[in-house]
Amino acid sequence: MIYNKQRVTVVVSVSKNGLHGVVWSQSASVFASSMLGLMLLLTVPLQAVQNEPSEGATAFPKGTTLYVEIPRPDRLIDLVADHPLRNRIVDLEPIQQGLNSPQLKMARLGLSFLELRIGEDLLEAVKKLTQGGVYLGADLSRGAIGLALKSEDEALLKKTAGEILGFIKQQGGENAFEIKTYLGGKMAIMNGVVLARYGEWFLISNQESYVRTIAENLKGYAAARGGLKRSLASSKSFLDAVKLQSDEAALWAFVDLASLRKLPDMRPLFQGTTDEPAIELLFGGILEGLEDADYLATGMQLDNQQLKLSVNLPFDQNRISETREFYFGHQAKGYAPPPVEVPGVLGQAVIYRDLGRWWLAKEELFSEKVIANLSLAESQLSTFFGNADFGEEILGALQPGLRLVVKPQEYKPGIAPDIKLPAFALVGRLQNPQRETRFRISFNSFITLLNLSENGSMPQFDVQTMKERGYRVTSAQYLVEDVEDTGLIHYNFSPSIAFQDDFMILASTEDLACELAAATKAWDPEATGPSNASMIVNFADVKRLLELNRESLIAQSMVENNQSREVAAAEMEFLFSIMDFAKQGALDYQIKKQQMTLDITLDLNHDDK
Amino acid sequence: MDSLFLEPEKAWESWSPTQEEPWDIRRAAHLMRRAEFGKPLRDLNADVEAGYSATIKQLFAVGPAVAFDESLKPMEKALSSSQNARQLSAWWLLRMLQTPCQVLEKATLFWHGHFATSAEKVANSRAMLNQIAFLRSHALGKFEPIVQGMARDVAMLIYLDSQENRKTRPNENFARELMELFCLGPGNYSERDIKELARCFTGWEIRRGQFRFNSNQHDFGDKTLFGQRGEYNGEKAVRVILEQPAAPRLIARKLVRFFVCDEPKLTDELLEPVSVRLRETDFDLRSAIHMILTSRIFYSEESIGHKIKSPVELSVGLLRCLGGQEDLNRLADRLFSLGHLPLYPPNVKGWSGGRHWVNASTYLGRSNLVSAIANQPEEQFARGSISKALNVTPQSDPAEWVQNLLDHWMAVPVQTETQEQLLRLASQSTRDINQRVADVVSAIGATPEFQLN
Repeated sequence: MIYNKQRVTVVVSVSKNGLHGVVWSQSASVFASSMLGLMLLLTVPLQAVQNEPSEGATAFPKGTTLYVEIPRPDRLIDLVADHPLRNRIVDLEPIQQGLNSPQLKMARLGLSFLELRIGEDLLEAVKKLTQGGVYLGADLSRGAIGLALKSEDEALLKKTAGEILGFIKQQGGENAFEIKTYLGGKMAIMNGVVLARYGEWFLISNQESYVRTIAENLKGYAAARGGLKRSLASSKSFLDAVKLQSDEAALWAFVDLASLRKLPDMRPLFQGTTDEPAIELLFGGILEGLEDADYLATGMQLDNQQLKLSVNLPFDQNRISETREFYFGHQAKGYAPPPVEVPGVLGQAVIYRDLGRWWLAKEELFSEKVIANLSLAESQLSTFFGNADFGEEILGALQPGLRLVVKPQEYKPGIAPDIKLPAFALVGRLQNPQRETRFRISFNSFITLLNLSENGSMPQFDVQTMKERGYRVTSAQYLVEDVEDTGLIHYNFSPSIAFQDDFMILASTEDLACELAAATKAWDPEATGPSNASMIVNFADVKRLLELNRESLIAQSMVENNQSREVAAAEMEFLFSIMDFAKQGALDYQIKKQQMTLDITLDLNHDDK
Repeated sequence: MDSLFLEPEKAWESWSPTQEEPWDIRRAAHLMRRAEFGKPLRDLNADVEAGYSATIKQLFAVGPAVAFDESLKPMEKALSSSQNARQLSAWWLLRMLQTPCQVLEKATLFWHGHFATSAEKVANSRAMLNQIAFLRSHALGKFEPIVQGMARDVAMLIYLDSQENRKTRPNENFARELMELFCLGPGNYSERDIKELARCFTGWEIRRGQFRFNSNQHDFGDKTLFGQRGEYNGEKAVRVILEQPAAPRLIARKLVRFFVCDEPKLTDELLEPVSVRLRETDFDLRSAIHMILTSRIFYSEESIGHKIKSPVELSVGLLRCLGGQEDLNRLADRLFSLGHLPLYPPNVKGWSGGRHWVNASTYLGRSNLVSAIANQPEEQFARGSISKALNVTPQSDPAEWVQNLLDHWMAVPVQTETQEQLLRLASQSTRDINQRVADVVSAIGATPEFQLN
């Protein structure tokens, strides 16, 4: 995590060579709502402990599988309180209803009482009680979970802990808990929960033994860090992670994959393979990475403008299997084409995948049952494509760089589907432009098949081919034979295939096919970006699209929840309001020499509209 | 007293509350289970408080349904555009749960069973939605417009393979079902009548999803129906059919079976007063249904508990009583497996109903359905939990609230052993009040008595 005046960024990463940093940007304020509050919880600045484990890491025992640290919750609270989105979120009707609910009013009353007892403003007290950090650890092999808070005000912590225990006793009676002492600290043990205080540390766990181990480490740490040998901070993979941590890191989380891999329930995640062809195509490389990686690190950064989550996985490029070259490219040099400028685009994804090689590698990737199904599909598809070999001549005819473009569509006069879908198009390049005819014929066959399957009770397609300004488009338009039919979902589609040089565009609408075919002239066909895959979504356009489908969404919500129209409509309004808080979302996945990284970014929207 | 089934004149006399047969929760619950899809206890109490006459008047007030219909139309149009008929079934369940005019929806379900058409074969959501909307708009109106509408209905004609009917090869499918299933019943027509009727409908066809009359394909020659020769077309033929004495008898029989009792002890003599009412009122369905629901036989011990709940009645009724918020797509899947998903009748005869609802497999499925509804998360119930929905608190006397549930939900008394078992479940000290109520509701759902209506 990184901290400076302008920006808070948290990046947690793990690699075989160490930690990659976490950055947190400040002047960001904290969200008051549950949604952004949750995001912010992951964005508290860490103390500046460059390349050195935090006190929390030295407290939690070695073998901790999951570890999260929030080193400065006080800054998080300030961030929430001052954030530009805070008031807009708090003003939302459902949030107001929640704040004014009887349960929350009761809770507030109880907290006011606590304020009186400890003689401090509650928010200020919380800041003081957590100023040294909040640390969460879990050892999944023993089912233990623990939370550690470090206060800068030991007297206040002692007083607050006393009040909490007093309250528990008041509710549960004299025997509500048992008091034990261990290494100079006191533990209160009740049904399934252990509370303990050691100086400025307050511990909560579900297991007494876990608290004892933490206490031993704390004592060891206090006595010149002798306890390090038994702490998470003595783990090699953890130290590797810490080494790469930025001194301005704000929050980070560590997952010990080596330990996780030993748990029976988790084994399927680390097998390195899947029998779902689509999952293999999209995420096969990640499965390969998870098979060997020792750990995973996650970080987050936040400022007034942006929220960013980064996930890093150690990965050795030199160990890429030949089977997955369809995913990584030869010597991991497979880069997706860069995103392109398409005006009004709702979303865009680019990816490097060699579909031909993926299909040909199926014998090594999948079980016999899946291979049999794919072989059957292959023979049928080969027939459909005029006896061309589906793997080599159809999928293999495409170059590996693919683009998916999604854009709201304008309908022709007189057409108004009740459910309005965006237009979408897949853009690729042909290895050999001579294959264009084969694809065009197959497209025509496909449309004929659709016409026959509709059995005359639904609108029929009319196929047209045209040549314009250097590109060729074949499109299928639904005929309008009855104006009452124009509300059918069918009228969202005019499937089209277009060619421009070696670019091939397969689109759900003729307009988008033509627009992209024309646009490809300005694209550098050989250009690649730094990513294996990336994606961008514009939330304002998504919201507009959802609003156009308001009635359908309300109907579906009513059916799913057996709600009245009023309740379902209110839920939709809430959803639309939430979508106003973000401008754009982006995902970027890169394969680097020693790691693979995934960055997810959300650009926040401060405007009221 | 002799059985009312043997005394047709008395059977259809108007029932009035007496000291011996008061207008109480039991009778109010019976009326609402049959005419509607069931009601929460507090609403039943209000009906009892309002009195029998006021309740009957309120039952047939369709005014609120008009506004309800209007509010749903944009969403129905959007849903039907998606061509997902299964979702339309879920949508109809929502209407059953929420409509302010329950008797109209119940009557629509009756007519859907009568003019059975399956979305599975029709594969056209909009046509199915239009058919149900048409049936709803006439469900308490006159019978002839319904028949005339069905003869032109897109979904019906697709379902009966009658999209084309040429004069050189008249299609007998619709003609046969019109006689046998929709209007007269077996034995009340000849094979020649079917052939002649099929000629009347020649040229009635579906083109591009719409009904149209193709005069080039219509047989304009004279036809002989029931021994009478004339220039009959489809419309006139329907009128001739409805003039047959068997027509009101068939409709009377099916209405009485749907609203009064399952068992086949309905003699022509018993049904004659209802048939006469239909004949004299030009097949006014509202009048006939009103007559049935206010008759002495309807409130007699020979009617109460003498039907088996259909899966739709069982599930929608329970959800209404609990204010439950089940995912209706999921409920639709369950109803499909129990053999009673609206828009998916098994064949053109519709659902057989009665004893056919229950066998070893469906009995278990029905119990599981009740249990699944009862054990939903707390927030899925009216007022925040199942106990609150049923007005039960931790301090409530288990014997009292179990008895209230039985009085409200059961058409017939349960056995003593069952009642004792329910009381044990209601009194479990180790489970909280919501768990105990859910246990009791689940156990009630598994009793034979709960299956009765």
